[in-house]
Amino acid sequence: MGTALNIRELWERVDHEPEILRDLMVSFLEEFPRQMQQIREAVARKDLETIATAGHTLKGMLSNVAAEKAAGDVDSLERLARQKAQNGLEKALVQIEHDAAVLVTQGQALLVETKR
Amino acid sequence: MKILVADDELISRRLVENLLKRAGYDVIAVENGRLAAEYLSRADGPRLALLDWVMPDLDGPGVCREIRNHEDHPYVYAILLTSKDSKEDLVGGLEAGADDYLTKPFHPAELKIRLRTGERILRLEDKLVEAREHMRFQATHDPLTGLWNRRAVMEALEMELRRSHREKAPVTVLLGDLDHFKQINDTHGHIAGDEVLKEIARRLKASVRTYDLVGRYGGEEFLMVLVNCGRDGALARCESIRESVATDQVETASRPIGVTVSIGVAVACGRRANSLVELLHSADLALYQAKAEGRNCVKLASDDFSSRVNPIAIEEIAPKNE
Repeated sequence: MGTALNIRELWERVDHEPEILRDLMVSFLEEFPRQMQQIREAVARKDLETIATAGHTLKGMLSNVAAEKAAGDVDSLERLARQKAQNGLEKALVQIEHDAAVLVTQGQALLVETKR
Repeated sequence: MKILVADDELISRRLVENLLKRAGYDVIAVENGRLAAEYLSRADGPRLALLDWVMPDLDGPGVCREIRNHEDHPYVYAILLTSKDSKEDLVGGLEAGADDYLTKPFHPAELKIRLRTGERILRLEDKLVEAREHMRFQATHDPLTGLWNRRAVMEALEMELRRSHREKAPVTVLLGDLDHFKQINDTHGHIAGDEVLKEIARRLKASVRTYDLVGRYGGEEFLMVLVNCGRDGALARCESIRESVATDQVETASRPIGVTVSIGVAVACGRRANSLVELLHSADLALYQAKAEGRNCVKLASDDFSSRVNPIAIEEIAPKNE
């Protein structure tokens, strides 16, 4: 499993405050699945407008938790939608799903770590 | 210090909110631009704002445009948060009224330093407003008594006369002159004379309603404007003003000094456009009459003050001496 979260960068973002990191991870682990579900449904419907707006929000969220690779993959999906490209949406989503699985695992591990 | 954070993306909002709380700010976090504009428009609303660029209902630049429309509201220092970095966007955002922008994701130290810049600018703004208000006060008030100065009270009277004509409502003008004031200065000195003027100014202000105007017209002359006050109301009010001056002696550093005032009154009934000059002329003639008839009294000019105040038309409404 690769590194989905840039841990060092993440600590910088929260000013090295464990409480802020914990709060951030709790919010992320709650919100991220909801956002993913919205993207999945939009891709299934080929709803380009929703893919673009939800993709933009998800990209921002991933950037905030220093999930750089995942943010880049979502950016690719958002670009496809904005370019009205119907082809390639599923393929981009597969990549994001892979990122998501790793992210959630790492996020949960980080949460346990900051609870200590 | 209060700060508003507006971001529809939960993680970003929580992160910024927590960082700012930790830094000692009083944070209000909202999820859309409409709510942000509402909070920022409140009289006691935050004066620092971090606004996400893209938000539902109203975006960050839209919030900036709304708050910049409220010119009478204290300045709000607004920072746009953006993940975009094209020149067009930045120019558009700054043109909408934003003071600065931050590209997400940002380092907490950068956020804090930008906010510190904002606070510095707000402090400068406060100092400027304070200085402007101080100068405005100095330009419109008499330095000794703190009353409106002659120019300011005349301007206010002119406005009241226009309003009176528009609304067909009466306005009463009082010209008060302290009796034998030169004697007070000669006998007790100018410092005591100044103390008398200050105390009388205080008593005059205390004897009228908060929305009436009291100004220093000249050395020992005062001009008072009783708003929406007709002949009958004016008579009672004038007598109470005269009494407030005459009843108690003025305590000065050297000794208590007895003071009286003569008052000339003219009423603009509002039925026709009255000129400031003719109204003041009438009040002046009535004052002259009060002086001639022994001082410490009130004289009311006739309603028809435009046609030279006829001594017969001037009524005595208070005793010459108490």
